[in-house]
Amino acid sequence: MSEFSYRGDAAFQRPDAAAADAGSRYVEAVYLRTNPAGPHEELWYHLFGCRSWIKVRRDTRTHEILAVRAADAGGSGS
Amino acid sequence: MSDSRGRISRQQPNRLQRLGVVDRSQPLNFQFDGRRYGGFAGDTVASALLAAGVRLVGRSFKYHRPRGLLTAGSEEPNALIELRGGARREPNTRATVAELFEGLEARSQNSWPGVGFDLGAVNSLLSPIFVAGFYYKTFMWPAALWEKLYEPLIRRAAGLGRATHEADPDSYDKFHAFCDLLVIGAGPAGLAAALAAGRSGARVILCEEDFILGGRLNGDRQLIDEMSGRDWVWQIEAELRSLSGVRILPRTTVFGAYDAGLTGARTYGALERVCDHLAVPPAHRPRQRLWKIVARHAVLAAGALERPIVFGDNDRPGIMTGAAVRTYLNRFGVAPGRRAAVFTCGDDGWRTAADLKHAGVAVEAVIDSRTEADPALVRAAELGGAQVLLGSQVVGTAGWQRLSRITVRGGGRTAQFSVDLLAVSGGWNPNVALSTHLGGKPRWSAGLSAFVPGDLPRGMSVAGACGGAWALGDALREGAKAGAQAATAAGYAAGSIPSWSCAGERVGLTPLWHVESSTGKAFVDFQHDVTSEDVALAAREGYRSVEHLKRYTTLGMATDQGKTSNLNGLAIMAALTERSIPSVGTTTARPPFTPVSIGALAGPHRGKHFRPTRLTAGHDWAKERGATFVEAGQWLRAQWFARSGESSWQETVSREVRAVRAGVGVCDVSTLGKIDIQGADAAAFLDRVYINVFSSLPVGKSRYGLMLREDGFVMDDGTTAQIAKGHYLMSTTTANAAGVMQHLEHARQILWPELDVQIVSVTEQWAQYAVAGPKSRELLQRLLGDALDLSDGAFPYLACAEFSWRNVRARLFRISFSGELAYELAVPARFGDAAIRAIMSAGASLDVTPYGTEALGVMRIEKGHVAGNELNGTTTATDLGLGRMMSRKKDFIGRVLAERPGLTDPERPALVGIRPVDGSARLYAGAHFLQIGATPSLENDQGYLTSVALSPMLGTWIGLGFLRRGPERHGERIRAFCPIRGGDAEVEVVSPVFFDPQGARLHV
Amino acid sequence: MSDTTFTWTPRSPLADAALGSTAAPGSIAAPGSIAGLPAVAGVSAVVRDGFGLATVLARKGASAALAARVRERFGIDLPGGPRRDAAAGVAFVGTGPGAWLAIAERGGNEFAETLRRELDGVASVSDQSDGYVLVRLTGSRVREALAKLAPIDVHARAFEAGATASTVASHIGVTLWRLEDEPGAGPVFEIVMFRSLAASFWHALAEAGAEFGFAASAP
Repeated sequence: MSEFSYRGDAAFQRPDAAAADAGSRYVEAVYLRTNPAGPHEELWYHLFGCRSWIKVRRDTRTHEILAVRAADAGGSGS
Repeated sequence: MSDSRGRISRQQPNRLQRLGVVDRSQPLNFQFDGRRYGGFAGDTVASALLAAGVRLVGRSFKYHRPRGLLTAGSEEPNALIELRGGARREPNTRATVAELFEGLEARSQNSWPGVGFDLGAVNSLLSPIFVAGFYYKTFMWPAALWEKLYEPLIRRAAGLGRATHEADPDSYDKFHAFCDLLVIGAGPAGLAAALAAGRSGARVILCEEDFILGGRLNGDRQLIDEMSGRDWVWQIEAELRSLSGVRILPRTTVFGAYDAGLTGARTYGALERVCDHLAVPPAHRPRQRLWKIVARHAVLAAGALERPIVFGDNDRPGIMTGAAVRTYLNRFGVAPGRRAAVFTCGDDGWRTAADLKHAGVAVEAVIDSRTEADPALVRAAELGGAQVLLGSQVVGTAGWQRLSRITVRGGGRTAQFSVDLLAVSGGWNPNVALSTHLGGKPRWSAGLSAFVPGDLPRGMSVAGACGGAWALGDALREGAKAGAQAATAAGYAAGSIPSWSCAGERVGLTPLWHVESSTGKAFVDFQHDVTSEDVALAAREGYRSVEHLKRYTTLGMATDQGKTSNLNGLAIMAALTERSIPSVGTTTARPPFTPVSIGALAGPHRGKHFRPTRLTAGHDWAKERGATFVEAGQWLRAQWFARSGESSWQETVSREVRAVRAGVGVCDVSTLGKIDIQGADAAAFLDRVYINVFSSLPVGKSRYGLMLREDGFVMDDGTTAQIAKGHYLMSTTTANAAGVMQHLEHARQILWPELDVQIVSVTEQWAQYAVAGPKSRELLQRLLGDALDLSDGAFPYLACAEFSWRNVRARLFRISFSGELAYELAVPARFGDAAIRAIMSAGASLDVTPYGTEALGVMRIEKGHVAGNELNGTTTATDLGLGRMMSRKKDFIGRVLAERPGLTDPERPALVGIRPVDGSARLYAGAHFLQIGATPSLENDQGYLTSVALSPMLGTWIGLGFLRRGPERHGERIRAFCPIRGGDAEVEVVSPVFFDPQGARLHV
Repeated sequence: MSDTTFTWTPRSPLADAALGSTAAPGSIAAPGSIAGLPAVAGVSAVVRDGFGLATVLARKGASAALAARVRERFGIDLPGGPRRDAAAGVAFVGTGPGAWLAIAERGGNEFAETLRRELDGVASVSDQSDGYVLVRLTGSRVREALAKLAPIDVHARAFEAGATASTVASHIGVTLWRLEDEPGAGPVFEIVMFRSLAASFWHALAEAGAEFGFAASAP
């Protein structure tokens, strides 16, 4: 059990549910992800800690962490 | 040997009086294969055996050939022993690193009845069948033969040691450490690095796998600043111990390099053998400790290992590496033989000859495969009485249980020498493993004839012999420089870099990998009995890449991971296939560098402490009442409360259900997740995470809600109450509490950061009890008195209130999982124990009955309420019969994908109730539905049963399940088929609400 | 109307564990109790009681207003990071962006109500006085005991007085902070964990402290 847990591609954004092609847009957003060998923007959750979602730029080949920032850029107080 | 078994023999005929750093004031007794021996503090099992004249320490893996010590370190392939006895018996321990202690018991392994007379040696006569690829070729014969004949035979004959079957009596520990500089290895380079950094004030951790610091300085006779190497080590060690920022960890192997964080600090794994040198660890001391070391920088000063030369019968006891010979002489004061020869391909072997002479061991011959050697070295050897043979090679050896003779060929002549010790120097292999754990490849140095660390992980540098700096002066310089650089990089003023002077050394070498003209088995991998012939066979059969070579011959795959054999195997393959060594490649080294026990990896987390346990505030009360507990995630929940005289758990559970439905019962529901949701946009937030509308929920009311994942499947359910204006309290299932919290944080932080909403888990703050049954109102009204009016008008179904009860802030919710008139009463957890006792006391005259999760489960199945078995991640709201809850007026998570054709297909299995046609038939959860008469097959599958219970109210088994077009099929008869547990019953499809379908009992 | 009488007797999840060093489950390492153990406890643990504790979460866009309010009402500079600031028996511990634990030495559940009033409009407050167990740790070897439990650097320079961290200790989520050293007692840490996990934490703590001599006391 680790302090941080990996939660997948950070590129996910909810498409507009009212759009005419919402169905296909959601299928794409939820299921179709890129899986690059190299730098990748990911979401990590600070499970045992501040419960913040963070965006991590990680090299998937070396597991080197290249950058970290808060996912909502500042938390609820900003 | 058996006649001498048990005889006390503490003589140490091979102990040298003048040499060694063992403590002769502390004699120690030990046993090997039942025979008693003596040694000294500071000995290893290997050095003490050698001192006692024992040279045969094991049998080889495949051929059961007699084997002695090859090395004096952790790379030892031969001397694997079983250490200790009983529950502490540990197989495959290397005698060369096992520290001697009083009363130590060791046994040779892989031999029966003993190393001296080994019936398995008959394998040697059959050796043609044991060649490389034997396993692959032979066992393609009929499988029955494999199981009945070959496997037992091979396992019996070829197994390594025996593990104990008893529980490990010792404890293990974990330790997290942080430092500016981790120094791996406390030889001259490592000591210099630690000192240079430590003097600056940097936080330094110095790890040394040996039990004394110094590395090769312990085994060699070299001077530093005109001090002996040992004196220099003591001086440096004393200064390091005086520095508050320096932590020295002897008996500690850094076994792996792992990830680095954003700051560049990298994590290393290390194993400290805290008490392995003691018979039994003292109280509260762990046997071993696993260190996770986070270091801003690491200096790899792990040194180098001397490699053997591959020649015929190079495995006889008495043949060892030159470095090992010097270590036994100079560090342990033990002569590994009486009449020695040295076989070398470089200058290093001549040092061994000099040290043997210095120790008083006769050197018969120095055989150097090079045609030229430094005249001064030659002259010194000859003066010492040795015959010098240049351009010569050892082509054969003789002697069975110990070496007696070597045959040397060179310059067209053949000579024989009667010797019992042959020191072999094939050159040095840097310990590059830790530099490659993160994917880096070692680099071949033609000049050094060795692989050296290539691209290093960020934050790691190399110093000393580990990087190919063989000469002592170079190692000291590199170490000091690396240590100072690390300190400077960490922001410390390093001051002047320490420096020392020592004599120059000759480190010339012309590598000799394999004496091709030799006869007899020429061993490459001693531990796995891989010979040069096996490598040649692999080459002939096309297994030429290093990975194929390894798998085909098992070269380097034994517990020593090929530390003494990998490069020799590569070099032989390179020669056979006319390629260069680097083009054959190297195999990837992975952690751990040396074996790590599973106990150390588990640390204190074993048995019932494998993971933490969560206990409710009412736990002690439940225990007093004789509850049987069940694990629900980390929680322990009361499953039922058996009474004396009850013969089965079903009887107990049925009694609890009847008591609730007829009167009143109480159940601890504190484990359900509780999440405070506040902020101006809290209601809007709830509308987006639930499928139904919450913005219309008034203060003082609860509502059942269902949430989906974005893919349209159901995630969790529960009630949410508005307990004060803008203050919502969401409940989740016990199992999903953490997942829902994470889901909500994701929605709040990632999806809609613009909303003013704050969420926090308050599960732990409240102890909460369900009080259920027709008499629940009466009980609670007695208990709460004037604090709250509980009449149906004042506190109707789904009402909630926060109120002051005897000066304690309490909450009451009129919600029901059982289908009865029911409430949940919450108090601050510190009063949870008092509250449950008060409920029991107030309800005594009503015969209030505590009930557990099992009765809760029976009642919810009777009511058709879905739970974890139905919320299994593959079901939709419609599948659960809750499709109408999905609001059409708003967007919510999962809305769009819930409307996908696959999820709205009317053919999808949907929730139904199931009753057996034969009232006595039993149902099994997991049974699949079939049309009556249909063959059980995937095509005929109609759905499955998710939950079953023996219903005390209906008197039969009942179940909930998902059936194709189920809601349209009430009244139909089908088959519930569970071949795994022998269930096959004709059942009737019914409404999932078995009991009180109108819900009359709820609204009273 | 009520026909039952009872008193609110609070019960700690460490009621048995914290009674005394020898009674504690797993706390088999009372100083001097076993030959070879130090005579003076290297690690001392006190289970604290009577405190009020609440989570304080800044309302959207109200961080500055919250900081001003906390300064005005409590005389505390609201920590903007993982730090603890205290005045007059009240402390704010930064646990994450826009999130704090507020702790009052005394006050129990009423402290959250006070906070709710004082911080109305700028923060959401949830009472957690019963949700957490608070243990104070002292002793010359306390850092080593902590190093066995948690993957954080508690070295005197890396984790100064007032520093806090939310992390995982022996698989249990905890928040801890360092107070000013007590003369003669060595460094002082306080650590909170969820109530339900307190017994498991206590076992891990007692085991970690055992080799240094572990002494425990109830408030």
